[in-house]
Amino acid sequence: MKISEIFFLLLALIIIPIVSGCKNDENTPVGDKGTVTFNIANEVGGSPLQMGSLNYTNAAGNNYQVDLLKYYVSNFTLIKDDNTEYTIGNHDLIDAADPASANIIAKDVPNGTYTKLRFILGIDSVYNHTGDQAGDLDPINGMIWSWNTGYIFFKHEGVYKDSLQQTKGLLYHYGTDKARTTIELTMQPLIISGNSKKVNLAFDLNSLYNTPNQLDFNVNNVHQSTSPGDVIWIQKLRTNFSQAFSFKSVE
Amino acid sequence: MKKVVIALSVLLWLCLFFLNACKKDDTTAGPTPYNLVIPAGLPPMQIPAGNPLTVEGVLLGRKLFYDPILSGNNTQSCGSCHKQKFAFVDSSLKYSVGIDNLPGTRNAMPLFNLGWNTKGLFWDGGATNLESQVIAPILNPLEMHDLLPNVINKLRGHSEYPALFKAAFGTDSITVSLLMKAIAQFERTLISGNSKYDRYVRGTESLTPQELNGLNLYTDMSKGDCNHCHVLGSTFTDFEYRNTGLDSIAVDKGRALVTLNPTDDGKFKTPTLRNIALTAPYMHDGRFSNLNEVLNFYNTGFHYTQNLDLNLQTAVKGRLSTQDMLDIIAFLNTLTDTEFTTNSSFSKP
Repeated sequence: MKISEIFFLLLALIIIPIVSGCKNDENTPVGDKGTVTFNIANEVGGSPLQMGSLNYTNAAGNNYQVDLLKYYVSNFTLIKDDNTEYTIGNHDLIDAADPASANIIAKDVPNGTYTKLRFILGIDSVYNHTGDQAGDLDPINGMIWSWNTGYIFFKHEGVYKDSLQQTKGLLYHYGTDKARTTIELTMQPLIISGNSKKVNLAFDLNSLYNTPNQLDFNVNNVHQSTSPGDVIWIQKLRTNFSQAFSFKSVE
Repeated sequence: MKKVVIALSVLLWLCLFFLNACKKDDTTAGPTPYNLVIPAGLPPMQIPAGNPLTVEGVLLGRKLFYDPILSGNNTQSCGSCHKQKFAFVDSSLKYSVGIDNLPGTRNAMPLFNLGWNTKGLFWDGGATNLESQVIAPILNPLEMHDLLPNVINKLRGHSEYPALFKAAFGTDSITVSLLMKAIAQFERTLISGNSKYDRYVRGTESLTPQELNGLNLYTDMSKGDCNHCHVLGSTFTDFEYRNTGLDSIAVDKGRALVTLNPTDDGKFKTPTLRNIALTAPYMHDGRFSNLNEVLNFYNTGFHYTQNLDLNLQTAVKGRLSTQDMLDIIAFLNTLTDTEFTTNSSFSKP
């Protein structure tokens, strides 16, 4: 063997492993994981939410309008019948004015059959107490209190007609650790086998204001979760949130 | 043989070249670590892992602190109401006045030794950390009254800031998070620990008999009993929240606005007593214009309100003589640190 041949052989032996060592490990076998897209439809009384008109009435008889509706959903967890779970550590801001925000994407969901879904309305305590964060938790989204560090879990701003049929402002800013709500839904079996699936969910604003606790905007049309007097209001909504989301279908 | 040597050396160089190619830009210089000097008597400071102090970050934070660009009409900076010569409070104003000529609702707090306060910032502890605190005065309609998208746009369009953020954080993309980090870094460097009292403790200066008597009264549980909350030495505060009986029914609910817990009604953070001679007026609402009024209040003036702190519940009214109070004030005056209030590292750059 010539020296040049030895040289190229050594070169190949040494360089090839080094160069391939530069690659990221993306070699997990294709097929044992799938992608799930959760979509949350914002509804009122079962119909798609329309913003900017006074065309909704809650059980307390308040005529109301939605000009802004935003909320955080986080820590989506898929559960199998044997109670094994897969959690995505997401923090997603749903904005009723932005349809793209309604999709929550879970990549790398292990194959299997999932029959339950659990998530949080709000932000878990690890992430709830600092504004120094990015993405959907970036304070620029206007969903954080600066005088009391914590995310506004749910915001409804609009107007309603009071008992004298006068139009008044409506401002519900719901949050604090007391307000975090765990939501658990039973699904029709979601079967993942290396494929992509879509899970359709719905959030019903009238359900939030009606079931099981009736909220009456005449009692107080401005709540900012900032005084001990807001605690009962938080407790009522917290109970109602656990029923305001529903499972629709798997596609 | 010569060829073998050449071949092997070429091989070696090639190997080194490829090994280097794997590394991520180690050669580009990152920000320089900031050497935080802690004076004797103060504990080590816990710096958050996500926001290490760097020379570039502190410099950026300092520039931002003094830049009115962070206010709605570009007229007020943090430094407008937090003035170094008054240990970073707002002169003698009870309530600072914001950009819309509206007064705030609480007295501006001094800014130093904040890195040791891990129990919440503001009088009610509403901000959980220095980073999160940054946006509150910017957004408050009674203070700098701006909007975050507006602030970020102004910084992105500025002739200097994109490069300064890049130097401090390695990215051109200015975000709220980086704005918070920079100002928090500067604030952590504001350390006061060289008062006459500190020098007395270090044995390099002595206190007068009156100051020494004041020191004894400060810790005497049947007299001043200041020490329970304004713990002697170190930061001169335990950073806790207490109702000191300022009003029989709390006008400002204080800590309860954060915890939503009625047992926190009227509780406010124990302020540090370092530089206390410079930070009049006193209390969360600035109701007392001098230390004499404060001492009189703790001697006889407090109300037996529902959440009154235990130490005051058991304190005997009238336990201090006029001379006792003067002596305590003489001692409090030894906590002024003029090296801090004149340190050029903390002034407008």
